[in-house]
Amino acid sequence: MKKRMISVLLAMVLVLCTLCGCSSNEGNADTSADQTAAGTTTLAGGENRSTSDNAGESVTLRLCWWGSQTRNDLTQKAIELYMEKNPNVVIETEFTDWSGYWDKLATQAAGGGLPDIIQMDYSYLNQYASSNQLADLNGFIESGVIDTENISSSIIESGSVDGKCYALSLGSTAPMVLYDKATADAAGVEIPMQPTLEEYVDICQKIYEKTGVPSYFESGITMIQYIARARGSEIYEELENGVLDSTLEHFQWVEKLAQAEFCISPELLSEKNPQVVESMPIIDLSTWNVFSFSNAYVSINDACGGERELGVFMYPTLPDEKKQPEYLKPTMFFSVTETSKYKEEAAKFIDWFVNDKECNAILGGERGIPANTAVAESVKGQVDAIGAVAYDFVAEVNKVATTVDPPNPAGYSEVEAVLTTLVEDIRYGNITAQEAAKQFVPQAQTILKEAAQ
Amino acid sequence: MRAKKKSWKQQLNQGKVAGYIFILPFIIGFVCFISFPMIMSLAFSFTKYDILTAPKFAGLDNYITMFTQDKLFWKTFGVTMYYVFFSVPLRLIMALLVALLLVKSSRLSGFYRTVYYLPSIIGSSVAVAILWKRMFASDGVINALLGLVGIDSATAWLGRTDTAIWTLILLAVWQFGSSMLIFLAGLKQIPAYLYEAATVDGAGAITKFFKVTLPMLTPTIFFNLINQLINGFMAFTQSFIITEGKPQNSTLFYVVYMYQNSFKYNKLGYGCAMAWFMVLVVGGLTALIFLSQKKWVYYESER
Repeated sequence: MKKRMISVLLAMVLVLCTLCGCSSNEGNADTSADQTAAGTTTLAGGENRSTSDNAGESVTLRLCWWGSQTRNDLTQKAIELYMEKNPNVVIETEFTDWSGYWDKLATQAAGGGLPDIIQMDYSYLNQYASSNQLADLNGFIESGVIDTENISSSIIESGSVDGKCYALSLGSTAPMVLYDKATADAAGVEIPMQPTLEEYVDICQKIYEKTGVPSYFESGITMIQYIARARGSEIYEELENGVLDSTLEHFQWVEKLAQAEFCISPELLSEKNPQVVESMPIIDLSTWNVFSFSNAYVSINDACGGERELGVFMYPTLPDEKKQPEYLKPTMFFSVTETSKYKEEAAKFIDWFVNDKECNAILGGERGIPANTAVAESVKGQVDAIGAVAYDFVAEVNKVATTVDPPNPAGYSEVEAVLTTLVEDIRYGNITAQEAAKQFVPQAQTILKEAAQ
Repeated sequence: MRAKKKSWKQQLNQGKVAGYIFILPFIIGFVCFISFPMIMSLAFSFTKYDILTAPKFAGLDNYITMFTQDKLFWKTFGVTMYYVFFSVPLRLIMALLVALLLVKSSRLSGFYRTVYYLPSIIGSSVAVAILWKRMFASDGVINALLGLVGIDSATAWLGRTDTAIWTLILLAVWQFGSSMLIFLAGLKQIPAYLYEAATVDGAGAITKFFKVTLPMLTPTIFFNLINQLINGFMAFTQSFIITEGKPQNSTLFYVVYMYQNSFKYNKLGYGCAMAWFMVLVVGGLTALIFLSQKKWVYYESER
């Protein structure tokens, strides 16, 4: 009996320990992130690391971003140049990929240990600004520490929440459809710079009839937002107020295209995930097109092998649009954190990063078309033919673009997840557009309301 | 003074104290990295905590939302139960079958054991997850093999709600190595005289297996069952990397949904509540299996 008791006890410990292994993984995410951070922390230049209070003396800034290896190398190079020019500043860098970045940032914020400068995304800006994690940059813009002479006010606005500028854009990007030019040529279709959805459906049909290559129609948050814009409305405003209109319109297009034989099957689409560059259906011509953003042009081109010619056009709009839905959006920002001890030094670095031609010559527009127009012009002269496609496209968009929607509200990522599931349901034919809209809007409303508290 | 010192030394020399000192590193680790976070997570489960701002007490709100409003919560719970219900028994059967084949020692048995054990070391890694994704792609190895035997298939195995979960179950079954090793050890402990006696009584191979091997192996099966059950509920990488819960959330595991809530939607309080519900469920199931062991587990020492 005693033996039995011991075995019961041991098993209970086993259950708890293994389960803890599961829950402590969450805790581990923090420590391992810190470890990788330590692993990638580079301390170049500047032997004197004492951190005295006087400005002008040695200052250590921590800077973190997400990105690919290309971005890491380029940014590192630019930072070394900055430290060479400003011997009193030492910049420690930390970088990860996108998926791990926000987990890491959230845990650091919880511990009050955010780096001085963080790369910020449009979709997270609101959340971080409203929880007082970011410093207000207006003072530095007024005093001239950050020079905004060649930066359009709409770009400053895009990094602002309630009139306070919390983030400075590092580049612009615009919604862009990429397509395989050879396929379109073989089908003999002319694609306008911005087709209406009806024209778009015709094009898809023609291409499928002539070449047998199906098409893809983006149905996520970007497209629903786009359709709302074309209707002269704003998607999150509609969702917050429980308005069905844009959602229903969007879902009806999804439904129409999902059931068409010229569209990729939902089974195959789920495999060729268009959210990830490396698995996009355009790569093996499972579809002739893919919906993305202009700053991804070069990497999609690379993923396609770099030898195919990829044409571009704007997302299709509504036949009876009330407003041009195409917009320019900041790809990413730099923000100074509220916990930073050297906010002014951090602002100085951001100013240099955004406005310095030499720095941007190194960066090569990898974070999107530079916000500073003079810098963008000088960088343009240095990119190759493939990079130029994205540049020309953004220039084209710039002629017609209307102001971007305000940053996404807190809770948006959960809304997006609900949307993804419902769109899948429509694609698989389990639900009608009408039913899906009736489910989506109230659910989104609840999520947004709860997250806003 | 002197006496005190002596007693201190004496105390240190007692076996009991020395034992505690030796396990001190573990105890510190256990308290700091397991007990403390666990208690914290229990506390967080009663709060609304978005990680960026301080947690706010919310009473039983998280639990109420979980049980009454969150449809996806029940869906992921169902998906996980389905996965566990099929993957655990299948894995154990597979492990037992291979163990039976490998129990007879031959010159190559060491080699085979290593080879069959390998998947359970690398099986839950990200690399294998990506490999699996490629294998079951519409233009992947599985369809190519089916083509070779005359079945022309372009099925996107991971894109169909009815097959996607089974590719994950298959991956779990493939990782039978650690259970297999334990079964091997169990098989070797069955005394040879039992088999000899059975042979004398005229039992065939199948009768021997069901009348001797299986009953003698029940403690091992019992141990493996509990171990694998807990492991099954913790499955994360497969769903997170291979399918990302797709299609239509048919492969969204409970733990992945918990992770999404905690770190993607920044609802850590809710994630903690989910974690504690999981502890209760797994604890409950384990207790049930323990209670049932009287009925089917045979301990030699008890007779």
